[in-house]
Amino acid sequence: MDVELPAQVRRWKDRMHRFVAEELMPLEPDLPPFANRLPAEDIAALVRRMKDAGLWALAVPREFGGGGLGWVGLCALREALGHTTLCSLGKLLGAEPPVLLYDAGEDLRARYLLPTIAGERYGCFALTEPEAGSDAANLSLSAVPDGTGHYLLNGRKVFSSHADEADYALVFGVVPQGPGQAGGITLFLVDRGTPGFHWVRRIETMGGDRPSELVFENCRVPDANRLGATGKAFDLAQRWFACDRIALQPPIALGAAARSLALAQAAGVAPALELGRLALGLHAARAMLYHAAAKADRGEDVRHDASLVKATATSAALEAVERAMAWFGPRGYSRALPLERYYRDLRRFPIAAGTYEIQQFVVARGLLRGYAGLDRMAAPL
Amino acid sequence: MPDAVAAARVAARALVESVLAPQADRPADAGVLAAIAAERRRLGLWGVTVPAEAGGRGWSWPQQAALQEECHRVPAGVWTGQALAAGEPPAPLYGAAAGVRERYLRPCLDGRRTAVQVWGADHGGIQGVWVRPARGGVVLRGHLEGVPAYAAADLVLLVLPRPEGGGLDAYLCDRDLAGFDAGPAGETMGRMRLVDLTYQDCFVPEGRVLRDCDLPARRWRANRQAAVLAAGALGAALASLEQGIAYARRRVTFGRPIGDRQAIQWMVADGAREVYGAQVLVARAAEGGGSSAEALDEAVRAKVYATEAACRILDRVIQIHGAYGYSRDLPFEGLWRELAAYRFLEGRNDELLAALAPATVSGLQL
Repeated sequence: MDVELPAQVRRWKDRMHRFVAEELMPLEPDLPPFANRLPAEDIAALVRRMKDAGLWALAVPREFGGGGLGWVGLCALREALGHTTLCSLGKLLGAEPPVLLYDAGEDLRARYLLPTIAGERYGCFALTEPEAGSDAANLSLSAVPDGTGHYLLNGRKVFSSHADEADYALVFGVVPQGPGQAGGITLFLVDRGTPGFHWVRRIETMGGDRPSELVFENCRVPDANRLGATGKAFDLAQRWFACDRIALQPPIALGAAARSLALAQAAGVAPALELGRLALGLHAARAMLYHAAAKADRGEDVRHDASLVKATATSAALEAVERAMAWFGPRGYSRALPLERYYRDLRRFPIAAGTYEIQQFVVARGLLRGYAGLDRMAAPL
Repeated sequence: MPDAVAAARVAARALVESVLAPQADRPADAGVLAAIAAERRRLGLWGVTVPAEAGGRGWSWPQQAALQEECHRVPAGVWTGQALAAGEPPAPLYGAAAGVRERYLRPCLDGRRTAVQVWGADHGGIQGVWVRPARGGVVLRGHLEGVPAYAAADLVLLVLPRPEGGGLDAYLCDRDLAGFDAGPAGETMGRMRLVDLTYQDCFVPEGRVLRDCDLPARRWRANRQAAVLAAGALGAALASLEQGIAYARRRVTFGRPIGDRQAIQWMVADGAREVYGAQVLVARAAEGGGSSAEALDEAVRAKVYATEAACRILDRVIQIHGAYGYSRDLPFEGLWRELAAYRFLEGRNDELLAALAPATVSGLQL
């Protein structure tokens, strides 16, 4: 089931696939059942070998020292990465910086973006709050200017993935509107170790992801660490989140599902008709994925596409992994095969970074209000 | 509700209140299992599947189903499910010779041993272990994959078709049986451990063979399917969906409870339809009591329907709770992982469905 990729992307994808098979898959038994962690020296060695193989920061724009493969390239690399259960390892993804930082000014680029691309620093998102998940605009973490060129951050964040190993966090907070002063949801870069930035606990989950709970208590952040204009965090986020929605979860999910179906097929446990039906669903999702990624590379608005791709790819992949597990019976349920791990890790996708229901809502709203049209969804490339 | 079933439900609720509900959602092993066993004895919930003449309490299937459904309504009840299997030896042992009963049935009823019946051939007739007659007994050879590890802890009743055709025999496989190996317990996505049973030219003396146990073996399997797996899955799904509904009324996004939104309403409505279906099928199967071929089939249908529905319902309840549902702060992701095993226990759902398809289709005709 192939979708045509540019030759250069195809070559890098093959190299990534080889790296996954030779370097990552052998480490799968070392992955703890409920954590996305490997010993630090293993990770350091992997990062070194990825860099040696030229696989580091391939999708990062050339102007920041990356390989410039773009969104299509990133999807292809991550699809290959999905072929191992190590795909959710935080540090391995360090090659892909939080893309919002591409919009940063020179100072923040030098302090955050470039060290992150180099693999020296590592950032996490702190957006979700106990009362603000799908309703992200309902944030309550406050960021109040203290009159000395700083903001005082107060509030609580939950489900911040990889925050336990991050050097800095992208924190969304609410700046109160004052007389003659703009307010609204604003984005800050906050270093770990800043007084008042408390890491509270890991939240254990069904899978390897162990997101963190964070508390900010009179945490003083300089104005220089504000990313984007005051009150404009969501404008910035909208621009970039759609691309992330296409390139982060769906290709991983498709890679994992492809491997799961292949395992079932090789073992002779897959009923032909069901195998065919599931494979077709994945094929369609994959075609949608690369179509949307190519649009993103051309700078087109992909917000509608992103929701369609995420909802389609993650649900098709989850179903395929779940069915493969069932065909294997008790073996599929056991840790002897990667299926149970894949299922537990992939089950996060219809929840994290925009639930399945929010994607459906975005799609339906776009059509009902006329922002999007059925006839314009997949115009010829 | 007949009085006996109502009384069973009352006793089950007493067990839930005294020992299951106070536990954490995911209690640790040993102490808790012992406490549950002690409380079951105190409340008269021990040996409920065993007929009075064999030394048990002789509960009907609807009573047993009520017990399991109630216990599964609290997460600790699902998590410690195997604690309810203690003191409930499989049916082929009831009518065994006096010596066998003394050696195997009695210790199970006393709680000193646990016996489990293992099907050596699946519903479709594919066989993992072969039997060869030998002087003074039989020789077993073969391999069974993915048997719950607690089955191998004490005593396995391996049920197999007789080689010359005809009915089923059961072989009592102790740990001390030469050539019988349970292998190391493999980890799973849930609490259960699985073992592969290997029979390497394993000689079973005639004294450990239970001949002609067709009826008790089939009924016991159907009993587990209907009154344990289907009823239990129903209890867990029902209680979880109730919590999902409560959360949907409480959780506010965009200024309204999420329960006002169609996306959530459909999950609730789909779950409600499936709970209803499971209730009806579990009740039918329990009332049938495995007393005829059709009643045995109905137990299979209840098992497949309720266990599949329960996994879907738990999945929706996780989704309704969002990231909290996926986290271990709440019990739902763990319940899903436990219930996923119910889909292959006492027969894999896909194989059971396929085997029953002709009968199910013909049952639909006018």
